[in-house]
Order: sequence, then structure tokens, then C-alpha cells
Amino acid sequence: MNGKRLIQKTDFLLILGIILIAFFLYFPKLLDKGGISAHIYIENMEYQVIDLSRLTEEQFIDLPTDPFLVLRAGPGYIRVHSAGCPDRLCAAAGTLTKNGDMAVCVPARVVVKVVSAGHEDTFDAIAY
Amino acid sequence: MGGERVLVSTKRTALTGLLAALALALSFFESLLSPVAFLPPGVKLGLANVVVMLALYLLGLPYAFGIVLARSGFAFFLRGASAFFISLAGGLLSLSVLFLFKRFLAGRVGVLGVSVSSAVMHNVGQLAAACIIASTNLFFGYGPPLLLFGIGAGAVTGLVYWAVAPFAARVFGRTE
Repeated sequence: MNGKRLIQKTDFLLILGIILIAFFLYFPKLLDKGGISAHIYIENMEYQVIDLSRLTEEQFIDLPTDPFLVLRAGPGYIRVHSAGCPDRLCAAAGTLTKNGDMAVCVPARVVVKVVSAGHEDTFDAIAY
Repeated sequence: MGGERVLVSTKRTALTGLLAALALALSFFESLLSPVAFLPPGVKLGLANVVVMLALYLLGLPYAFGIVLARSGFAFFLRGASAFFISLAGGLLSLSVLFLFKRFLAGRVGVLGVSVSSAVMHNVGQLAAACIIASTNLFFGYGPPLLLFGIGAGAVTGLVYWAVAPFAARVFGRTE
């Protein structure tokens, strides 16, 4: 800087290094693009995680809860198949396919949440 | 003797205040600029960093430090505590980088390398502070674009510094 030179060899290395770091930060996102998974919580504890994008056929998941709860998962979706509770609000949540979609069964204390890779926490907006 | 020291310190305070005002005015100016230049919201050139660099290289660390503090204080009064925290984190980290370059790599790195590193570290500091405030890891989402925009912004501020420094050196030379 004291030499008042605008650019030197070291500068190119520095800028190249920053670009490399940016690329490596971005890399995990490229790998996991589009992958979505369903997180099933019972009584606030994670019970099971299903990688929905890797499923090839439909499968049923019986949860050991009272009232009973059966989930149906397939490639890219999961939904409540049948429930032993009176109101079946969780089944009314329909088919969950997108990041943030959620079905909650209060009597069985079950939460099913769809999360897409790289979006573990999504904000609509953060403003400062 | 004592009186002279008081005079010097008064001069320093006044000059730091002037430079801080210049930095704030430039920040305001570039906030008008970014819609015109089709930049995404939140991306700024960081022209105030030119003032910080001038202060550090031509006057010394205390001046530059004073400007960083003044900017953060201004952010606190206008936009609140989290803005203060984010501004301070960015300002201190970029100033630290400037200082380390000046101290240990003087003459081996050009103006562009210094200003780009400082701009990038400013973004890293702000992002880190934002992560702490939002208690989330935002590095993978916001890191890459912030680093790349930092390179662009740092290059522009470096050019501005390079163009302005000789004149500023003359002005500051008369002042001190």
C-alpha cells in the first residue's frame, strides 16, 4: 500500500482465495438440491426422519401412540393416513410436500414436518 | 507543553468528527445510488470504507477506530441495537484486516487487495453478527453472494481510494 500500487500478484491470490471460499460455501447446496425429508416428532422427541425424495413406493408408518396414528409416505410426500383421535385435524392437514408443511395431532402428541435440504430454518424475511 | 497536547487532542477529535461525518454522508449518498445501479437491496458499495482507509493509512489507527465507532453509534440512534451490533461487527472486523495488512504486509499487497479483503471481512462480520442475533446459521445461504459482492464493492472502493489518496494526503498533511 505504501508503494501506492493499485494491484500486485498477491492481490490476485487473495481475490481467488475469496472466490474459492464462496464456492465451497455454496457447494453443499448444489449437492442436496431438491431433497426433502419428513421429520416425525412424538412428544417433542424426534422419532423418525424419512428421506421422501429417495422413496420409490408408498409405505405406511404405524406410530406407537395412543390414540393410534398411521402415516402414509411416498416419493415426495407424506400424509396422515388414519388416526384414532376424534377430530382428525391432522388428517385434515392433507398431503405434505413442501418445506415447512406440517401436520399436528394434539391427542397423540405427534408433529410431522417436511424440511427441504439446506432450508432447515427458513425465514420469510429478516429486516434490520 | 500540556496546553499543546490538549490542542493536538482537540484537533484530533475535530478531525475524527469531520471524517466520521464524511463517512456517514457517503453512506447516505450510496443508499440513494443503489436503486439506480440495479443492485439487489442491501448490497452497498461501502464508500465509507474509503474514509476509514484514508484515516488509517494517512492519520493512524485511532482516527479510523473513531470513525467506525461513530458510524455504529449513528446506526444505534437511527436503527436500534441490532443495527448497532451488526455495524460494529462489520466495522471492527474490516478495520482489523486493514490494520493487519498495514502492519505486516505493507508494500506486498496492492490497494485493490487491501480494499477487497476489508470489504469482504466487513460483510463476514455483519453476517456473523446477524447469525448471532437471529441465532441461525445463515452462512451457507448468504455467505457466497456476500463474498462475491464484497469483491466487487471492494474493487470499486479501492479504485476510489487510489484516485483520492494523493489529494487527501496533501489535505491531511496541512492539517497535522
